Order: sequence, then structure tokens, then C-alpha cells
Amino acid sequence: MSNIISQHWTTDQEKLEEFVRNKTGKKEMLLLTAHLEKCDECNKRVQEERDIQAGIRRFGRLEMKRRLKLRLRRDRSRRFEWTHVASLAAAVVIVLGAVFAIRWFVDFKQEKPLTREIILSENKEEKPAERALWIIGKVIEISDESSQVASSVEEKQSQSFADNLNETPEPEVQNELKAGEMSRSRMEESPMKETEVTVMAERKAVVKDVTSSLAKGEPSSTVRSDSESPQAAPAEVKENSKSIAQEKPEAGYHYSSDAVNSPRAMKMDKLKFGDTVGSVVKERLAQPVQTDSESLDKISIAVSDLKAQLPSLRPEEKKAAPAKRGSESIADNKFDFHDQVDTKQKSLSIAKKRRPAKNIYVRRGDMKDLPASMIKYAPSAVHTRLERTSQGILLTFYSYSIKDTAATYIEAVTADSIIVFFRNKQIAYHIPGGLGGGT
Amino acid sequence: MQTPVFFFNEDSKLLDALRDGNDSALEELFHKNRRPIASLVIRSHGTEDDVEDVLQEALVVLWERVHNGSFEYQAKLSTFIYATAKNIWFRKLARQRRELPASDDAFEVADGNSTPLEELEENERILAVQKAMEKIGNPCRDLLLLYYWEEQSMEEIALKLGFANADTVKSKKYQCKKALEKLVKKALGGMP
Repeated sequence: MSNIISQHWTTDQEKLEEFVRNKTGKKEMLLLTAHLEKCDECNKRVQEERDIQAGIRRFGRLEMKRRLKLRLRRDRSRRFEWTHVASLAAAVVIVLGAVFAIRWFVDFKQEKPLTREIILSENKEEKPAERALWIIGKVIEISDESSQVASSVEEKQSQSFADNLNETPEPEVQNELKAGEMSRSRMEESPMKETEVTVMAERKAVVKDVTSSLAKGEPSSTVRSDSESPQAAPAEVKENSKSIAQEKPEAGYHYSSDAVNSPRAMKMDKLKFGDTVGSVVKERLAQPVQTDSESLDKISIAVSDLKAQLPSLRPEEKKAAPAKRGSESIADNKFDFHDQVDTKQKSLSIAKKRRPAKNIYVRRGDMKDLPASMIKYAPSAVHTRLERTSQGILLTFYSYSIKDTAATYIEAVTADSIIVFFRNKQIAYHIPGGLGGGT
Repeated sequence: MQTPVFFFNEDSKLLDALRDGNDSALEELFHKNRRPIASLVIRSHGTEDDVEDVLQEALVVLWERVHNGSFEYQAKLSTFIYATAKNIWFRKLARQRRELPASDDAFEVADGNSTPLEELEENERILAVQKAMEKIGNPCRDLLLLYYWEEQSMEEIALKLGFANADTVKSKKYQCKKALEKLVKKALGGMP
């Protein structure tokens, strides 16, 4: 058997493989094929070799297909991951965009500048003075005597003013009446009419009360403060107090700068001018006074001095003022006084035209809130924080010497200076930027 | 020894990559040729799986031909792939119509002299070899594939698989083939 096989060419493995792979030459191929037609065993071996090679090739193709499939699947998963990440990123961008859009819309709806102002001011460390300005007020202490003199002068002036309203006017008070009529006509025209009348009537009552109480040696009951009840005041004052109380803010005294433009109010302002003016009044009134006529004379001199120190009101009177000192009559002084009131009224009305009128609020601040560096100043200096709000000017004073929690009333001296009255003290302020304007 | 062919176009790069055994070239060809093959297969009521299967087989044929040196660059690669895929698909369709069992090897065509029974037996034997190839481990598997499928020389195989020389590969190939025949005989149950 083995001999038969060995006689056949298919026993040569290399030859068989070459034959199956068609690698044999043409001549040899013909001989081998002729042998195969006669030899079944060789034919079978060739067939086996073909099957093996076909099987290996099929396996190779399948392996190749499997590799390709695997590779394509990986590629797909990679592509899917990429698209997944891209879609996720897109979703995040959309959500963020929506959030920003909503925030922008909300900001747009709100008062944008105000919000931004606050944020910006926090960032740029804005100077505190731009928000709240610290000013120093000067305390003017009025002695009992000078107060008495002032009160008696006030009483006389107010009495004559009241008389003139009802009776035939005397020559010396004609100017005052003129001023009064002017003010009344203005009152009719002006929307501040009621307030002016209120202030005038109230001051009349205050002057009367102060005069009578000084005569009795008792403290004034009609000097208004927030802590006192208005029930003790006369009926007229009560009404006035009510009308004023309606305008009053939380704790401080409420003041409308328009109300002080009346000529009557201007008279009182003369005695309580600002910083330097107040000191002149103080000096003049500090001297002992014996009679009413003397005190009135002193006041007229003081007023003349004031005229000289207020060149902005009427410059042409600066020269005439020293000549009048001590020699001219009360009537003359009164005339000058009212003339000056008119001038002042003009200046204030001009100021009013330029800027809108503002309310002034004065209240006491807690000394704990005062910066330590400011406490070192002289005790006569009243550190005051000035804030301009949409409602007006808010003054918060810090002082040990003044015990009152709020001012009794406030007087405008010029367009940028005021005097704040307390029970027994006054503070003169210069308001930087004036009384009007503000925020 | 196959003659190197130089192409100065995109196809030449792909052919070079296929020659170097770079599978990424096949991947690229798959994506490039998918659309025309898909329109062909789906037009003939084929499925997406059919598209992938046909295209993969066409690419394997290309790869095989490039490696055994039988590929002749007469047309663009895409044209060759389309024509091959079309043949494979039509043969598959014909087999489905005749309700014959689908053969994995589309190119193992019978010589026409054998009977259906002989064809069936042949198919069984090929399947047995295929399974034996799966069982046989490396380096026999790679060696047999490189020699019989890729038709590489003994020197090339020695270089690729890290054998000392061609003679070592020759003796190793002999051993591997005997082991494979044993496995096939075992799988066929004593059948020769």
C-alpha cells in the first residue's frame, strides 16, 4: 500500500501544495493531471489538500471580516461618544444662554442704573464723602439776657406787625406792611401759601410765649420739640403744629425752605444768621442790656453789621452800614431791616428758581457712630453728617453738648447756610452745594 | 515576487496601506463606498445588514487580491469594490431564491463536475478545517494564514513572525499542517 502511494507524486507535500495553488509549470501540470485521472488515491489527496487550503482561506476571510466589523463598531462607538459630548456641550451652552438671557431680562426690567451704581460703587471703593458728607456746625449759645432781648425785640416786632395787619399803618411800619402785602400777594399766587401763614402764626405765638415765660421766670412751653405734646399750646398754634406735624419726618424737625421766604420769617432769620453772622450776633447780644430801647438799638447795630458782612445781599449798603451804627433811630433800623429782608427774599427766590426746593431733616445721631478721629475736635464743633436724598437734605448731628434729639425749627439764612434751633442752643451750618439740588 | 505599482492618487495610498496590512485603509474604503453599495442592495430589497455584509466581503476580496498579487489596477478602487459587491450580492440573491444553504465563502465556486452530494461533503470538510483553524493556536494559525491565504514567502513569514530563517518556517509549517489535519480528521469523525 505504501509502495503504491510512494509511487505517486502526491506524496511529495511541496509538489502537492504547488499543484493545488497552481504554482507548477505547464508541462509538469499536464503530467500530474494525467496521473490523477488514473489514480484515485492521488486525486483524493489533491482534494484533501484543496479542502484544507480552502478552509484556511475561508478562515482567513472570516477573520478579516471579523476584524473589520470590530473596527467599524469601535469607530461607531467613538463617533457616538463624540456626538454625545457635542450634544451635551450644546445643551450646556443652551442652558447657560437661557440663564444669562433670563438674568439680563430681569436686570433690564429692574431699575438698571441704581443696581449698577451700587455694584460699581462697591467695587471701586467710592469715597464715603460722596455719599454722606461730614460738615461741622458751630454752636451758638444764647444767654438768657440776650434771649430775653431777642424775645422782647421779637415781641415788639411781632406786635407791631400784628397791629398793622388790623389797624391803620404807621409810617415806620409801612415798609413792613408793604413787605407783608407783597408776601400775602405772593402767598395767594404761590402754592406754599398755607405753609407760610402757618410759620408766621406759629412764630408769633412762640415770641409771645417766650416773652411771657421770661417775665415769669419759667421755661417756654410753646417752643416746639418732638418730645413735647402740642396740647399745651394755644389753639392757633395747635392747628399750626398739626399742619407742620403732617410734614414732619420720623424723628427730626421737618423744614421746607419755601416756608421761610415770608418777610416775617426773614425777620427772625436776621437774628440767627450762619456761622460768622451768628458769632457777630452773639458778641453784640452778650453785652448787658438794661432797657428795651437799648436792646433794640443794639440789635439794629448788629443788623447793620450783618449787612456789612453780607455783601452778596446788597453790595451798595456795605458803605452806608458803618455810618448808621449807634446814631440812627429804630425806625430807620427797621426800614433797613425790612429792606434787607426784601433783598434776601429776592436772592432766595432766585435760588428757588434755579434749583428745586428741598426739605431739610435734622436728627440726633448716636455718638458711638461718630468716627474716633472726629471726637478730638473742639466741643463747640458739632460733627454732622449731611446726606442728600430724593426727599431732601438729612442732617445727623453728633454732640454731647446738645441734649435734644431733634431741632425745634430750622431757618435758612442764605441759599447755602442754615441755622438749626434747639431749646437753648443753635447750630449754624454752611451747606456745601446749597439747599436745593441734591440727588 | 509581486510588482510594485506606483499610483499618484488617493487610491495608490490606500493600496499601499492595504499592502502594509493597515486595516484603517479598509475602514476608509468602507465609509467611502457605503452609499453606492447601500443604494444597490436596498433597491433589491436588501437590509442594512446585507449592505454591511456585502461591502465587507468585497473589501476582503480586495485585500486578498492585493496581498496575493492578483489585483490589477485597471479601474478606480471604488469601481472594483462596487463590481465585486454587486457580484457577491447577486450570488447571494440567487442562493436565496434557490433556497440553498448560504455559504460563507462566496468565491469557493464548485468546478461544475461534482454532484450536489460531493459539494455538500466538500463544504463540510471546509467547515471542519475552518473550525480546526479556530482551535489551533498561534503561531500555527498565523503561519498557515500567511502561507496559504496571504501567500507570502517563507522569508517574509520568518521576518514577520520572528523565526530564525525560511527553513525553520518550513519545518514549523509542516508541523502545523499535520496538527491541523489531525484536528480535521477528529472533527469529521474518522473521515479522511
